[in-house]
Amino acid sequence: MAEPEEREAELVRRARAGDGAACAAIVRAHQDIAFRTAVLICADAHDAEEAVQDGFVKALRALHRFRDGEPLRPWLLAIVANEARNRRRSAGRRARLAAHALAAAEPAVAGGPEVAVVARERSAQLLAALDRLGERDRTVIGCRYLLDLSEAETARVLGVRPGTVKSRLSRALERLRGEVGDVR
Amino acid sequence: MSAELERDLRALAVDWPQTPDVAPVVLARLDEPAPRPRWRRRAAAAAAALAVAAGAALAVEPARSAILDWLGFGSVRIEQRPPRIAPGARLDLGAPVSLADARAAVAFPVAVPAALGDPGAVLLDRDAVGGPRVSLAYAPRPGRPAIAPGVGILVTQLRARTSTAIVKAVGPGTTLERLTVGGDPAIFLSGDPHGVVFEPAPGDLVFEEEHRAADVLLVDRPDGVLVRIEGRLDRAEAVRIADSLD
Repeated sequence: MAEPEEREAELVRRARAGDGAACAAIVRAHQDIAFRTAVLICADAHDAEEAVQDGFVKALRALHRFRDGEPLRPWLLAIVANEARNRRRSAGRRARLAAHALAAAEPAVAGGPEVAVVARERSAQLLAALDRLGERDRTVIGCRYLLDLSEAETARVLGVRPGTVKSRLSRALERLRGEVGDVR
Repeated sequence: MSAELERDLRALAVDWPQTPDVAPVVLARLDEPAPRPRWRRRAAAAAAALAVAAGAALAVEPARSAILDWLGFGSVRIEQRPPRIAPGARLDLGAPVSLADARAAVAFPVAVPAALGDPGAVLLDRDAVGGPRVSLAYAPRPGRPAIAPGVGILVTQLRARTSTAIVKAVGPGTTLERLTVGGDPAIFLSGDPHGVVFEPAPGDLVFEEEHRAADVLLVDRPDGVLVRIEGRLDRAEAVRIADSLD
């Protein structure tokens, strides 16, 4: 059984050669995380879907520029995030995260089985507070805690240097803390 | 407090909107011709200001219909256009606009040749015979003589195809060479001033007489755009410019 990296390299090689099944496999392997990342940035499911579509089309057309040996996911997420930022609309149209909150019985993507289920009230409060944050703060917190992206991946999504993620995250958490404090 | 907040964030149960399966749409779109990537603005190297004015339409000389008869176009509809640039006349290529505005105004992708950099002027002619067209004008400079006042190279794009009838439109002093540029069929015309024939729609021929003493490269792009590059260019240089269209 080939290692995941080898399977991915093989898919990239076939996709570059125009193999549609390989292209579809790449899309399906990453569309979930790509879509959620776009939702964080656009705060709108419809815009996010467009961003994901356009992002994958651009990425697959530009696959010759992808550097072999690197992981594919951060590269794809960077392209999709860029599309999502281009689509970000006014705050008025935002479908709020809080509106989607909490119905799920299972922990979020970020959670492992051992993660404690947070009380409904606390979750609602946090999501509402996240919604009140600006897109930058919401995205950096969402990438790290809701999507469980690495610092390096988060940096690609934000379009910043990896070193910038820590400071942005800490400022965003500070503001979130302020928001949570406000509603308490 | 911090650890608690981070722990709670990690444990948040977000009911994400359902991820749509975009694979079928993405695959279908991959089969379509790629749109031209958006042109990246370079540090503008003091783009030459080109004095441009929409010129008045020139009267069509009676002699023109004789030329058309000679070309044997009796059976097809020909829309005739006055010479676009008569010697000493002003440019008649439409209104100067920004590249972004030109792109927004036409239904085809407008490419910019990276080999030439920033155009000195972008001209939009909405009412051109055969459909709207966008011209990128580059100022003359040493080694790039003027083909019209203030213009060294002109790159025009419109939705059309070259026509086989072009063979009849070139005079005896003009050389016509067929070639490919990046896999796209192309025609290079050099020598005496000549006419150009193109088809905005199948069977719909437009004849334009060139009064500019310029060599011309016509490229049929796969997205249905006809690119015309005019200037005092040798073939290799014209191809290099066409190859850099981005």
